[in-house]
Amino acid sequence: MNERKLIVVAVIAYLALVFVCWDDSITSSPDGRKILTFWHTYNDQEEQVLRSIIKDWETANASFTIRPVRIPFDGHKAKLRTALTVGQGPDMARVDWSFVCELARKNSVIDLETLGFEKIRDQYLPAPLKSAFIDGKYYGIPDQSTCVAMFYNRQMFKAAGLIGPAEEDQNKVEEVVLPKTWEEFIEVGKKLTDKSKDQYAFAMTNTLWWNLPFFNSYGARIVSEDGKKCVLDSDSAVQALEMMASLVNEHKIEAGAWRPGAISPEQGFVNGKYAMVFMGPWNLAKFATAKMDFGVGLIPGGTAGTSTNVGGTDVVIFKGTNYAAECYDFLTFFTSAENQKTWCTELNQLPINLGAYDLVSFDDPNLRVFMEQMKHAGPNPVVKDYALLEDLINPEVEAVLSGQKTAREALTTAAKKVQERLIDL
Amino acid sequence: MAVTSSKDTAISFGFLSPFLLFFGVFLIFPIFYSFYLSFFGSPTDYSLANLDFVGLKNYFRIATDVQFWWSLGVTALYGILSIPLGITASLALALLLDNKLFGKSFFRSAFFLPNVLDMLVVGVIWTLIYAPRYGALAQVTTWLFSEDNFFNTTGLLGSPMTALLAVVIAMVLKGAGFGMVLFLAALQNIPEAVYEAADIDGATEWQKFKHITVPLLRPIIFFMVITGIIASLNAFTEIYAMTAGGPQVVIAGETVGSTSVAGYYLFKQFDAGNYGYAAAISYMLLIITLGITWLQQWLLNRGSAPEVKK
Amino acid sequence: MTSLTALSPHETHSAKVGRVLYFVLLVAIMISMSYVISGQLFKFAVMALSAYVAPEGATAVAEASKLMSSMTVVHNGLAVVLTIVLTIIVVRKFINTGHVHRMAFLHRMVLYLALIVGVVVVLFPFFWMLCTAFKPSGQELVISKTNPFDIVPSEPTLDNFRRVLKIDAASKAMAAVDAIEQKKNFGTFFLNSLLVATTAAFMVTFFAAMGAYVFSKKQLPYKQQIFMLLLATMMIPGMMFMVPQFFMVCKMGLFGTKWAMFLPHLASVFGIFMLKQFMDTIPDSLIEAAQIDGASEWQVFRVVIVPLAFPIILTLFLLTFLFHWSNFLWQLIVTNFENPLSITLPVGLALFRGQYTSELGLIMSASCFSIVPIAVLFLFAQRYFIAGMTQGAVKE
Repeated sequence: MNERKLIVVAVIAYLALVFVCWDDSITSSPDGRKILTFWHTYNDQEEQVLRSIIKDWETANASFTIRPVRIPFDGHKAKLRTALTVGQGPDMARVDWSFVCELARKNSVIDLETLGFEKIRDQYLPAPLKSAFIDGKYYGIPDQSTCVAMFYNRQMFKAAGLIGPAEEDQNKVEEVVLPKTWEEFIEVGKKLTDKSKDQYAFAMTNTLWWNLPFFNSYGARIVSEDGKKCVLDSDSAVQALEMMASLVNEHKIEAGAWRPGAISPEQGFVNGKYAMVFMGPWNLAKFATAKMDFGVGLIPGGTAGTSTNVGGTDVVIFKGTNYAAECYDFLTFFTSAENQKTWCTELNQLPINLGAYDLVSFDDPNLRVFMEQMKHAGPNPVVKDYALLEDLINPEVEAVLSGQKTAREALTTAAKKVQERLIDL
Repeated sequence: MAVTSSKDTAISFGFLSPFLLFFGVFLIFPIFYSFYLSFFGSPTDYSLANLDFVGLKNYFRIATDVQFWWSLGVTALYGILSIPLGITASLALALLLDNKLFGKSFFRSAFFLPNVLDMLVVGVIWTLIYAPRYGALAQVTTWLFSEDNFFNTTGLLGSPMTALLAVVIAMVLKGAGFGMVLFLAALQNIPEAVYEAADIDGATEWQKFKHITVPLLRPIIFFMVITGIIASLNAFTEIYAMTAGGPQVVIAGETVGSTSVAGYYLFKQFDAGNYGYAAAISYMLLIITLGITWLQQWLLNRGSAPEVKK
Repeated sequence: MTSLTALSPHETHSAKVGRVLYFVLLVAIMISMSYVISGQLFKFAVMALSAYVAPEGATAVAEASKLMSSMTVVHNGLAVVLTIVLTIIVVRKFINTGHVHRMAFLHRMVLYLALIVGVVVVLFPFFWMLCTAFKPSGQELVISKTNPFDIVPSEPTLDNFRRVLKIDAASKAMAAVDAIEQKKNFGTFFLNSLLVATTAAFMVTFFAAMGAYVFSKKQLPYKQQIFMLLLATMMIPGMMFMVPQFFMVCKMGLFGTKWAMFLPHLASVFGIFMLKQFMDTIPDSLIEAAQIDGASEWQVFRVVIVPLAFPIILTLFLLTFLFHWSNFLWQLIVTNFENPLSITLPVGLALFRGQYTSELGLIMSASCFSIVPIAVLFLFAQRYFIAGMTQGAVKE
């Protein structure tokens, strides 16, 4: 009897569920305006700012309306790929910088030069813009950009005597000995490393994007300017990798965080085990809530001075749209200096529009360091398949870090593979 | 065996029809289509309309792809480690919890529960357990031995010798409860009378296990072996979450990942949009697996009298 | 008591001492385990309570932390009391056990201790997940300096749960934007997923049970060959089918509907295989007996096969439910994001996740929510699932 009752209840519950979820049509009132769909991956706070900017644009373009549609950042590539397969793509979208090249080579996004991009191109930060420069044409506009800089644990610096003793004069700015070059970095690193306390000066992850600051600070590039040749086996690249490996093997100031299964630099940093790590501005708020005493400095310089990588996203316009000009108009409006000012001040993000650099002033000194660091960013390697580039290079770099190969051997092999499998294919 | 009558066949088809309907509609076409794709290069746009026919080039490319053959070897090792370990662990749990044991339903539930956890979550947690210096394992070994032990300096996942084993242990512990449930259910179908008869003959516990329990559980063991092979061939999330294919080893100048299993390699190809090559790899894997199965059957049949295959 | 043993007094004495020492060792292990485990569990309860009681706001974490430290005595005390009670029970049991049975008692104790260690190892991920879900952003990875095994946060917060449920301030502001945004909430996603997963799980188990019955017990020309062919298709990774299946779903005009979420995955070869292998262990005599009683084919299936295979059918139901409950990639590509009513839970949860934020706390609290229905289903089914439904009835 009891069982029968259970079954009846289950069936009723199921029918109720069907009833509740059945109606899955949503009624949006068509008001005669033409709809432009914009797939984005912003979060709640960002989307609110986006919507206010959209409103501003719509008042000036009364016959159009922009429909922002949020898709998950995890999987936005898979979503776009499949949607484009059946021709259901949006009019425009925000995509990861590494995806623009694939979209362009698969002939699905519009060359912005045809819409007059060369007139306003110089407004944007050069490094992020480069990631959208494919085969001599621009296919995307950067809308958000990040880079990494050096986070340091102030307590550990104090303990190692690298921060001047607290002066009685309150107004005196304390002096922090931040390494300006890799040589100084190694010196400072030796003071900060104390194996008996399980404390290391530095920790790094081994993926290409995270390693770019090393390569860039030596002026080494992955792919040549015209994208036709892999130049990873250059002397400067070998020099950079040798320096990286020496942190691990010779000077032993790196904690081994690049090993699979090791604690990430982030976790070690929050737990006060690693004194310096490379991190992006997205961690500023996080570390602050973790009540950490930390500061941010520029990445040490190699032969080419301080440098860093570029991350972030671009906005692109798809070939399937009927209103390319309007899309372009909106996207340039969205990334204009004034709107970037609103965006960056409200969200504490780095501007991508050079014009906005003078308009934005952050209270947080750490963010100002990031703005400075961003100016020294090196361009990202532009290849058809960025994930494959990582797959080809990372194992070789790991072989060097674990002492199984010399830097030159590894980079020569990596360069050959990249040339064969990614560029000449 | 009784002669198959047409009525029986009709009834059988009746029972099978809903399954066959969905199989026919949603799987036959994809199976053939992916096979068809394995003869084409990477598409030049997203519409999949402009494919260039490359013939058997993808298959020839596999033949010379060192990374693929290496990953196949790692996959075999993964299977050889995980299948027997998984079966032993599940069977041991099932036998232990088949007895009249206080709180056995609690234990049964507890051991099954990890199966519902997301593989990524399990991966993250086991990485933290294995992690050198901060992980639970490192803490215990440091307390037991000294600071300078392997678990504390390199960690199980950090060394090419142990990384695969560490992944296997995590996966066996996650999946043991599922095998246990299957074995438990099957154990209940063994009539008590069989054991009683053996008791009268003076059989020891081990003899009863070997001659009664194991033969009657054979269908389940077969199931565990086959699904184990499939799981090894498709292993991806656990590798992705725990080691990303590393640690790397250099063998004869070639850098290869010590946990880079075939499924992981295949996923990377697929994710990179090389549908043709990915399809060729999966059919190559299928051919190899079927070949090994056939060879093993043939050897078994030659060695002993043919046995009724369940 | 001593009169019961047939051994010589001397032997008894040394064996007795050995046993008592063995017992003391086991009790010591038991006490330490009990204290650590129950200590963590009670601390967790106190922590969850403090996080719940603390009012939402900027000072919530600090207040919850204060409340928690004021209750340290409570959870430590409870752990001590529980351990003492447990010890007394075990010692009394040991004393009351006759000498001849004492060794068996000790073996039993070892078995229990080993099982509990096993349970702790396999359930640790759940506990870790729960604890991390209560940690404020930025602190997920902080390890306690005094005791690295103490994973219960000392500064708990419900923020992660609020954000998952979209009842935090930012989401509320977002929802106020328009009607479409309001529909994008956890409830919609949850119900959608529930519908998709139950429908799929029910259909898959039903079809698979019928199919497995044929392959295990019925006649069919080329049965073995067909079965082997089906097994071979299992070897091809599912992702190879994703693009063609997506094509088909779109051609059928099902894009963005709930049908698209599960229809392509209804033919489960895995399910057939699993049930068939189990049905192979069911003696044929039971079916013959039913047929002699005049049961029709359908009745044999319904009255004999299904009840006997019920634990395994339930397991399959559970696993299929789980698969569809967390089938992110497929559901992502068939979701029409312009219509929030078609978004399911795994996709919806990914929507909240930012780009750079690998916020473990948020991910873990989302995982907690997605595990809830599975846990409920599991607890409901547990009785049948573990014991089998009609054990006594068929066992002769």
